Amino acid sequence: MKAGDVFREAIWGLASRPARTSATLIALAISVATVALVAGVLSGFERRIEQMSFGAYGRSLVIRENFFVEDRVGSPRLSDIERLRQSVPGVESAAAWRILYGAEVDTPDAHGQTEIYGVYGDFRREASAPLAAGRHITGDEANTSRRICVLGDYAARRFFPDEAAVGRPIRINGVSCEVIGVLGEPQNRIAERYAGAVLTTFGAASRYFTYTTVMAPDEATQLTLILNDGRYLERAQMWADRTLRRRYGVPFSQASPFIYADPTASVRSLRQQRELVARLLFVIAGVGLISGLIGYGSAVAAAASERRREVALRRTLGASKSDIILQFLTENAVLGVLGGALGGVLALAIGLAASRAWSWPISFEPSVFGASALIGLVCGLVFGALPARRAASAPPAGAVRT
Amino acid sequence: MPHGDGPARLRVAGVSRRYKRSGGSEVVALDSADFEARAGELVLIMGPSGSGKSTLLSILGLLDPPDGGQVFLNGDDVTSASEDARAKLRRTHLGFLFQDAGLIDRKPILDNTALPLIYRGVPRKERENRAQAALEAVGLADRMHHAPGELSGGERQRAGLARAIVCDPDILICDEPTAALDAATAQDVARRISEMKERGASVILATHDRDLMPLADRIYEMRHGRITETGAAR
Repeated sequence: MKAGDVFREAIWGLASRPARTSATLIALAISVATVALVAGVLSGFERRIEQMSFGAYGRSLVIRENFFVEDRVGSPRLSDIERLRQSVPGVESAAAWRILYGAEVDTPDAHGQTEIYGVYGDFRREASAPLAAGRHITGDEANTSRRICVLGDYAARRFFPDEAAVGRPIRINGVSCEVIGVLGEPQNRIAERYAGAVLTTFGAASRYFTYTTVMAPDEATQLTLILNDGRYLERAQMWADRTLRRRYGVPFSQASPFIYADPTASVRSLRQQRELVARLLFVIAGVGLISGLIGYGSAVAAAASERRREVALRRTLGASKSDIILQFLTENAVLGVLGGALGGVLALAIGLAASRAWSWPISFEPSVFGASALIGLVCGLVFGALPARRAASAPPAGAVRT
Repeated sequence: MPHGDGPARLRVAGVSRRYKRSGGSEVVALDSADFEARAGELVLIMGPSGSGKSTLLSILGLLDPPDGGQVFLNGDDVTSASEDARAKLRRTHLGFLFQDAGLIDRKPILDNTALPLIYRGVPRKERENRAQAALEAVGLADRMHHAPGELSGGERQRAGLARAIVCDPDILICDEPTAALDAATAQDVARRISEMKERGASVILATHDRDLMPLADRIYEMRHGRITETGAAR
């Protein structure tokens, strides 16, 4: 029997029993969909975790003033950086940020409010966005008061909608500043923070662009200590707190004058969520897969049993056992691929609905559909093999004895 | 060589077949049967229901191996041929016509008729041409695209005959081909079957329709799994 005829007979076998074929297809699609859905959800969690713990930010300890204590000592200072570097073990680099919220920005074409980040030290480890144009503020420039700035991707489009921003002046709270570069499209969640902002030097931010002098010139909105290993953030926090309490004379009996933010805390929480969801999904997927495959196997076996007379007739007419097995396996392979692909689409639809309803981070790669079809193919062949063998064993004499 | 003379095209010698019942006891369906059919000969196997006609046909049609005895096809002993070898011999030498025509319900008559050619590896276009020719030969050219369910009993039987002859077999095996037909239709089907004999095929026909006896060159009578009488027809 020729391959083309095997395929044609297999398609006929499926098309001639639309109800049975549809039921079998749906059973397999449900099985594959559960697996694809679990893969999509877990992949989505992984992607979000990856985004949140991207690069050096996942190894950063952020220090801010604690506004909720009675005896406030002010914001952390640039001079604290050196002390912290000496006392906290494992500090790879440090940066300071002076952040102005709602600064007025004017250009010849636009006017609006945005955040100004005055940067000092090794700020590029955190603001690690690629450059779209111009250049970055160098480490040396960051430690000066030069009125130069880099615009975030969105800020550049907002304030210079029709022309290149690099080399053009802007006014921040009425003081002019030269644009030297534009950041590229944010590659991760951390970089998104700078998309709408203006980055300038720490000194310029504190000297020129503030309306009121609430903070001393060397006070920073936040300090960032980047460690060489994110696992030691808790230990680093303890040492930083001890150093700064000693520096500002705050005993341990009082609340800390600073807040220590661990950016990885949210990642850890997300990982815990993922573990919980994964366990739940594995159970659902297991139940769905097993029940779906049982349904599929039963449907295939029943279809083969229904066709014993047809098989006996075919064998009477000269079909060998292998012709019959090949036809049934081809039918199951076609069913498997279609059921798998349908399962992939079903998983995508359920995933999108779940994503909207419960904000699940679902991520479907195009390869999910290929993998779904492959899973379907394997299921089809595995669960179709036994019914195919049984069908082929139907004695041809059965065609005579009606 | 005149039809009906010459060596046996299909011959069985001392064949027997037993089946096990669910309780473990055995029933003898066929007991030491001798049979032969020559080229251009129409042989009737007659007997009441349960006499072993279908069992003998299964063995003659290489559908079922005997428990004892020998089967010869064109002089070759094919008794112990493997299942695949028997399948190959069936598609090469044999055509079958069943009591209920044995058509596959959801296939159009044309595809049903062409089915044996698929297993012979005949190309699609040629299959269609040969199936059309076979359907024309049995007067069903205008019904070739109909499903079996849309045909009358006589038409279905003629479609079954078209499928049996589409490969131009050496041996045509028919099991009660007229049992479910009215007298006029049965006569028409019988006439078309006997035309195969004129073409040189050996026709083996199991029936208890005594109206077919005038067509036969030889008649075997069966009772209780044994061939009780063999005789040449008038």
